[in-house]
Amino acid sequence: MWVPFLNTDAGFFDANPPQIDLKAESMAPDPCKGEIRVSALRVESFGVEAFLYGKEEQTVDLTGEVLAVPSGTCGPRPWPYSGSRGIIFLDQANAAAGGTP
Amino acid sequence: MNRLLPLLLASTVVVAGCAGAHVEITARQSRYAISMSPVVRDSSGLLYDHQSLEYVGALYTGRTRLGFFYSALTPLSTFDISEDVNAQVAAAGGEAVVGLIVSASDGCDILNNFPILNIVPLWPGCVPVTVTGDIVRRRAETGP
Repeated sequence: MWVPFLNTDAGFFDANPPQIDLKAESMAPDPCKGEIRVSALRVESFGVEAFLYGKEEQTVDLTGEVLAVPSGTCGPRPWPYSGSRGIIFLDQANAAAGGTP
Repeated sequence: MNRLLPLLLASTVVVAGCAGAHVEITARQSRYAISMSPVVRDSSGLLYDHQSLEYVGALYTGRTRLGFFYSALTPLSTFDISEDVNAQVAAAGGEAVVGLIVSASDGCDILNNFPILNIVPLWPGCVPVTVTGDIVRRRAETGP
């Protein structure tokens, strides 16, 4: 990450953003049987500087747990993806997508 | 040289500083389902993917929070996106948010790394948070 007037690290912000897909897929490989419920999401930005040398870091920490899907239903059509992905909700927002059709 | 080393170490400590902030993202009051994947589940447990979901709009919200005391104290450190989600999804006529992305930009680099002044405990650091996602609803013809 570049900061004017400082001899800072060269970073890769946004060029290669971290993905949680692989981690999520390894934790819940079958979306018909499990999903990942997010319980905490924390974002932090921190910079340290000494003798005109600076280092800046942004982190996003996600905490979640794997839950079994009781019904085991896979949806209205066959799963279209070659690599299955778990579903991730945020906190208490499991009020369903608009309710029962 | 032996005399200079302690002086060099001491001056390094004296001129070193840091700053930053942190924020917790929540959505406790959201009336709509929020998913960080491209799919979402309805109340009956059925999965809906991109083929059975219709994109109706984009969710965008963000906040910048200040931190003090070398990032130990961040007032208003909880960012609840519920209000923005409820308003934007309702305005778009959607039923859920999928593909939620949470990111922190580099907009606070200069503040967090400001030489000399960030030694002062009250010197503010900050964290700019952006939350985006796709607002979707179920396609009528693909309902179960």
